[in-house]
Amino acid sequence: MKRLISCISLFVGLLLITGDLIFAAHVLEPVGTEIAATPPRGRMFAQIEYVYSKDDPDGMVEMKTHSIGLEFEIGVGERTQLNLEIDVVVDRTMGDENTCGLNEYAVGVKHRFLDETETLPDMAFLVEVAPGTGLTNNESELKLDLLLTKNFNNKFLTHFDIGYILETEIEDDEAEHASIVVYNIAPIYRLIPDKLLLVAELNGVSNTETRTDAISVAPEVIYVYGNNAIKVAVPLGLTDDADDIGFRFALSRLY
Amino acid sequence: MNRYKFTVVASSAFASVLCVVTFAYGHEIVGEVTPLMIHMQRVLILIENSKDESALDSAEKIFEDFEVPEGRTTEAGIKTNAVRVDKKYGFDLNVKIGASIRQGLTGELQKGLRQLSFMLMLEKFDVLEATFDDRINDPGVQRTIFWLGRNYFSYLLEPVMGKLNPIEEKRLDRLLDKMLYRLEDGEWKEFIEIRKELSEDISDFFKLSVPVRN
Repeated sequence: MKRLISCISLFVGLLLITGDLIFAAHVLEPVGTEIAATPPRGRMFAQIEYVYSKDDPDGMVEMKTHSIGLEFEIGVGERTQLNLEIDVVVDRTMGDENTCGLNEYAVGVKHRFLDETETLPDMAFLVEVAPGTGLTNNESELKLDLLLTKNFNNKFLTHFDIGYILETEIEDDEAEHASIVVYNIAPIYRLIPDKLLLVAELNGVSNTETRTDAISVAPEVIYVYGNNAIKVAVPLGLTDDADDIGFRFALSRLY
Repeated sequence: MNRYKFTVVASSAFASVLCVVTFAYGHEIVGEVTPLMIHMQRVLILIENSKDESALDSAEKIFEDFEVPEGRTTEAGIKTNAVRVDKKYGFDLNVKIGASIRQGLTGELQKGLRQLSFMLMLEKFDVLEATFDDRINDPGVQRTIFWLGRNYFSYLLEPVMGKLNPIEEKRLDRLLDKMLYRLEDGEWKEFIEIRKELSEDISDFFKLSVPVRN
């Protein structure tokens, strides 16, 4: 409860500090879904995110994770951006075991190849590489992602991304590969256009190697002020393979 | 303070500092937002919310040149700007806006203010295009003039467009981004072509008049 109160206090405090309302043209991306839009050339989108998740994978021992994510998206061309993502586990507790450290970092390129029209969505592809490092020392990933964004009317829009991840794990000098499919759907309702958005994310990860399907749903609120945004999401696991419950809090800004 | 609390507080504080210290109008608004723009936006929002009396009252206060209390300076009002635009582009916005305020016609006032915002944007782009022929054209100055023009769209027209048709709003926002790239790349001809497309699309959307260019 104390944690919840401290988080709410921070949220309210930030709202007060940065409460100058300016219209924003851009719908900023939900915490769990990549969007097809790219930042303007020479501009940078930055996001810092706190993630908490709780799970009891085997029904016996509870696992709690606190992590911090950093994301930078730099507009290097009229339709192209460079991505840098860093994920640090601040504290992961499972029984008596404690883990912390750099979880992974990823670099990538996103290119928007289609602009939204009345009938067609914004479309982009993303290629991302996450070398094995830190806590995922022996695992590296190559991700290919297709991203779509479509406004259905002046109140509803949806972001959708579907990706394939080739995961390579080095074990005793032998490489083992796993195919992972990720999909995220984020329907958004503009409660107050350009200021307050309600999101219902569906996030799925399907691993062919471990034969697991982690599906979760995350109600989310995005509060936009000018070129800044505050995001709060509460992911709820729908399958046994997903974390039972979580909390995500992010601050974003377009520089 | 345990590690969890420290992490949350430290990361949030860091992000807040980033947001607050560098708080500028960023993508939509870069550079100056004049007191007249702020007041015109207020009038347009009041009309949108059917607060006709307050809108007319606010418009009347800024029709003539008005004083800005903070800086104790006098700002050019709607009339001064409209007279200049009328003279330059052959419109009669001064008469139309003045009459709409006197007669309490908020629909006409809204249309007049949108037309004025549109013309002020085009006026800045005309100033910018005049620098294309200069041998010495400072890119920094050119960018400043561009944003002065773009701000009229972003501040006074784009929010309404975003509410009515987000797809069109996004398209025009990207068109303005494209204009900026062409400007930065010194591709004047392409800049002028995109400006023409932008002008036509804005005028189509808001049913505004486009001045005939020489």
